Amino acid sequence: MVLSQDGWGRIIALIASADGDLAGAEDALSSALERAVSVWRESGIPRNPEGWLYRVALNARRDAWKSAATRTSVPWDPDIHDHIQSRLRDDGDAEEQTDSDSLPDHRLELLAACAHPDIDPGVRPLLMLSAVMGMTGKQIAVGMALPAATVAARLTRAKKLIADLGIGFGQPDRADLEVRLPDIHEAIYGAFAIDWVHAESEPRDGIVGEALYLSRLLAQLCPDDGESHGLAAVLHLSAARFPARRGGGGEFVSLESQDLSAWDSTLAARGEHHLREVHRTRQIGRFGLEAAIQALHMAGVRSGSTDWPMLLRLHDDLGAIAPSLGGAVSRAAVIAEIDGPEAGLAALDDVGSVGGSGGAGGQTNAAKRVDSFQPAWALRAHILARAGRCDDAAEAYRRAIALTTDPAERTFLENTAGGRWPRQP
Amino acid sequence: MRYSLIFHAPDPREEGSPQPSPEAMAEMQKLMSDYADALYSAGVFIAAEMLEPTEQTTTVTRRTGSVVIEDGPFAASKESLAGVFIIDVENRDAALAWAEKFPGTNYGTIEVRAAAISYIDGRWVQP
Repeated sequence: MVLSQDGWGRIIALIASADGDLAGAEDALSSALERAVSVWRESGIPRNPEGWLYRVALNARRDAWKSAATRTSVPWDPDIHDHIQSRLRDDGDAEEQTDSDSLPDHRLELLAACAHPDIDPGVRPLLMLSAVMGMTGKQIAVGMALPAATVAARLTRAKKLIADLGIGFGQPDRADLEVRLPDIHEAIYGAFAIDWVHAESEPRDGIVGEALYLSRLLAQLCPDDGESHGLAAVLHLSAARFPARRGGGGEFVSLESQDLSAWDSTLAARGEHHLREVHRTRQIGRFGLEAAIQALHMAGVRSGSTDWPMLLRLHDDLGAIAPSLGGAVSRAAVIAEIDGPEAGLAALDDVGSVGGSGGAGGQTNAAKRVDSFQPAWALRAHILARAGRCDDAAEAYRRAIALTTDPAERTFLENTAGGRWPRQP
Repeated sequence: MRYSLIFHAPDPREEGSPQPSPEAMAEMQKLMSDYADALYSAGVFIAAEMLEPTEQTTTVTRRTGSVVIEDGPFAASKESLAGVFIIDVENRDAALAWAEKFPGTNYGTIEVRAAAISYIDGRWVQP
């Protein structure tokens, strides 16, 4: 690869910042890369390869812009035209410097464009992987276990949308970008925590490395934003445990039974570094708290003694700023550790009663959701089994297993339940 | 409790609908096969049928008195019935959990419907 991991996103951000045309910028950079292969073979690699690629790609885009101006079939927006003209002049100056200076960095604006509110949240991660990382639709499809045609269609639609919106992102308003940060965080988190759309025959690692890179990039672009560091921390700490989460036979291994020597110490150290940065910024948000919770759990497994009261405080804070079903269920698990099974079960019952009251049938929306929430049933089963309430535990295991589509997790639950329920009625 | 996951998708023979490449077809078959394997290993699988395009449908009716046999579907529409998975799960929530994982939802729609009554092993069984 002639381009560094940083290079693709930098050049795309610079070129597309004029008119928001990501597809056009990608075509231009791809053709520049093709040219580089033959030109560099002849004359050697230039001193500043990225500056060279940027110039060649920009020239290709200029040709496209100019020809668009003369073609009647393409709608020509005078505002964009003026903007591009001024950019071409600016870049004329910048071009002189590209040999010695590094390229200006518009990647934060590019990330913000990818997380634009008009783009479906499920498509934003795909767009980031494509535009910022230079991944092909096919690579993304393989990583996410999606059909390649689906990914290609979604990318094309989203890029067209950005181009149609005319989101030129050359002159960013810093305040605008800060408003968009939560959406950027969500999208990067989405690329990492792929909600496995399909039942898989075998677990995939997906695009973990790319999502980690995006989180580090964002933390680097926004060094004083606590949540950006929090996101990087939570992703790295999770990824550090990935090698240990499946056993030799592909079976699911719960956190407390994991082989600690299989944890990735480099990733864990990076996660802890970003967690310290969260403390430095003194901005602790949802991701910062989740990272702190994970770090405490990991420290507990390492030392053999978990600080449950501290975990409960963190969960309380998390529930106050970012309430979620998953968070509330995890909090109930902590309460079961501190105050015993009955208290844990009571906390789980409370999860069901959170939220608005009184639907038509007297059942709240939250209650309906918790009723179909697999982790809530798995935890209930676990607590009941520990309390020695075997019949109730068997029933809860049955409900949890019915909601589990992942084969490895299903096997884990079936083994844990120990055959206390009939497999087939 | 038996549920039918009824899959509707754009007919590839229909004009204007995207034509899947052989590669895309093979990929979708792999995803479908993983899905069916997961259903089977979970012990909830009853049957699965993916159907030929509506073009190869023959419609039979005696509505007007005598038998009328026609080529083509009863009603032509952009989306048509493309397949049916029948599963046996605890309740609607479990059926929905499986429906969410159906690979075809990327380009089509799954209808989740409970069986009102099923013919099993030579007799009608009410759930």
